[in-house]
Amino acid sequence: MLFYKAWIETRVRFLAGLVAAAVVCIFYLEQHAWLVSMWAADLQNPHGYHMKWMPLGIHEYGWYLWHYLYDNYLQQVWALFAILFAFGGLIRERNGGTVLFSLGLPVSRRRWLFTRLLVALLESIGLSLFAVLVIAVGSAAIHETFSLSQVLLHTALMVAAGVFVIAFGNLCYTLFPGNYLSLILTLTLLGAPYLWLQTYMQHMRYLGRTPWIGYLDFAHTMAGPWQITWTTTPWMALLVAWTLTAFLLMATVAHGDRLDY
Amino acid sequence: MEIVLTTNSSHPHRFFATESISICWKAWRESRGRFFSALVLLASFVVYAVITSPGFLSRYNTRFPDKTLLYSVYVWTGLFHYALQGLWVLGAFIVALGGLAREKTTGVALFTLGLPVARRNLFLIRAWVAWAEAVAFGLASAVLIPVLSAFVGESYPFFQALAFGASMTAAGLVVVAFGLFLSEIFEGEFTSPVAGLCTLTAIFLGYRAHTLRGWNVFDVMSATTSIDPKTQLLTGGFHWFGLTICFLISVVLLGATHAVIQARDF
Repeated sequence: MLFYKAWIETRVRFLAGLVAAAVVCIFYLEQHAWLVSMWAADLQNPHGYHMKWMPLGIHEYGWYLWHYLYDNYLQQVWALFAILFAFGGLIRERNGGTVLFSLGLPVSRRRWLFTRLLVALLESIGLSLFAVLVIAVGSAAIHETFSLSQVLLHTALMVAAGVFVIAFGNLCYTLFPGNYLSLILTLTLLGAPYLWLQTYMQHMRYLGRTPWIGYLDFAHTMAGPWQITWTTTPWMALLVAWTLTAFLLMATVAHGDRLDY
Repeated sequence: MEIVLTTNSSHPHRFFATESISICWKAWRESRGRFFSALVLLASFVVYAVITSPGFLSRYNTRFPDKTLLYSVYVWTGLFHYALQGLWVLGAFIVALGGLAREKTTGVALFTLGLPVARRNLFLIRAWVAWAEAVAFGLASAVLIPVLSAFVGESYPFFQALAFGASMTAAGLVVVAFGLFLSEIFEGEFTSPVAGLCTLTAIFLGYRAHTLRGWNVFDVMSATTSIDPKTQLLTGGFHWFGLTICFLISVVLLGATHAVIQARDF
């Protein structure tokens, strides 16, 4: 019943997420032929743009999928909806005036929280798997083949590192439950440090260093390398993401236990 | 002691009557958290884009010596025509959300409607506050560009930045009006943000990727038709025709929102 309640609360967001993920995937699958022809024309033209990645983009469809979807747009759409799935729960019910009905049930606050988070996680997994389905159907439609195992590994990596986003979104909503505030605040709290981190990491890469703070570059972790193997998986960064997720969940539980509804 | 309760304002037609200031304060209190959050996001992005520009430009110009990229082109293409504009749209849309429909869901709409202020004024004052906040986003982030450019050894004309900021906010009234409209249509906390942001993002990326073609509000916001193709700086006046169309669309959206508010049974 708790799962069903959480599902009822978030199903519209989930359906909107499916539409958004489908739009992003279809758009970049549709653009593939045009982009490849443009890059090929550029490479043949001595005055055109010659980038190191262009041969990869032309000849490796797997790289194209990874670059445009898992390293960029699908990842961003997925993260946005994972945050939205994580919003809600008892705090939202308090604002709506119905929380006492939920708290009157013989269910602990922690169980409410973790059921809600589990549904958010399942919906996030569902969203990422739906994207794989769209990629498979879309790639068949444009007569391109790709490694399904690589796409599934990228999906798994995106979700595995992205659990941090779910926990962070839920904590932000618990702490700042005002109308619409939590959404823009979560985006700011994730986006602003991310931009600073990118600036710093870009500088460090230019100097040829890999500082420890690179482990906090979760967008980079979620994307991973374009060909994932056991050795190229960013295990240390994943461990950091999971540790921080655990801390965020502990903070949410502690705050939720103390809250006077 | 005699206590007199009256709903008859002593200056019913004066716009800046005490009640208008109170409603203004209420709208500001409702949206200030969102305002400061979005402002930090916009400012962070501008700082990031300006600080990383020397490295990007030197790498680009070394790689393509025959296609030198000017700093003014970098600023217009990367900021006013793309990422800053996109973030401004996000911020302006988010601060426009709220209002009576949302208050109805949380059960406080009757307190607001109990005030001696017409629904029209409640809506217009909230719209003014949202618009003022959107103007602040546009001008603050635009002015930040020439200021920060000096610190990284580049220069960007102050009045050019101001003009692009003004163009973005003037045409962007459509986005604010769209946010106000959606927030009076949907009562759910997440329905209007999800519906609005998905729609705006799809249209924005559609035009930027040239999947959608033709006249669009985003080109008017970045003054695409009024710039020099080489320097991508404003050459003359604004595209007044485009701005007028944006203004008319905004008026239609605001009128529709007002009609929805008047017709709704709270």
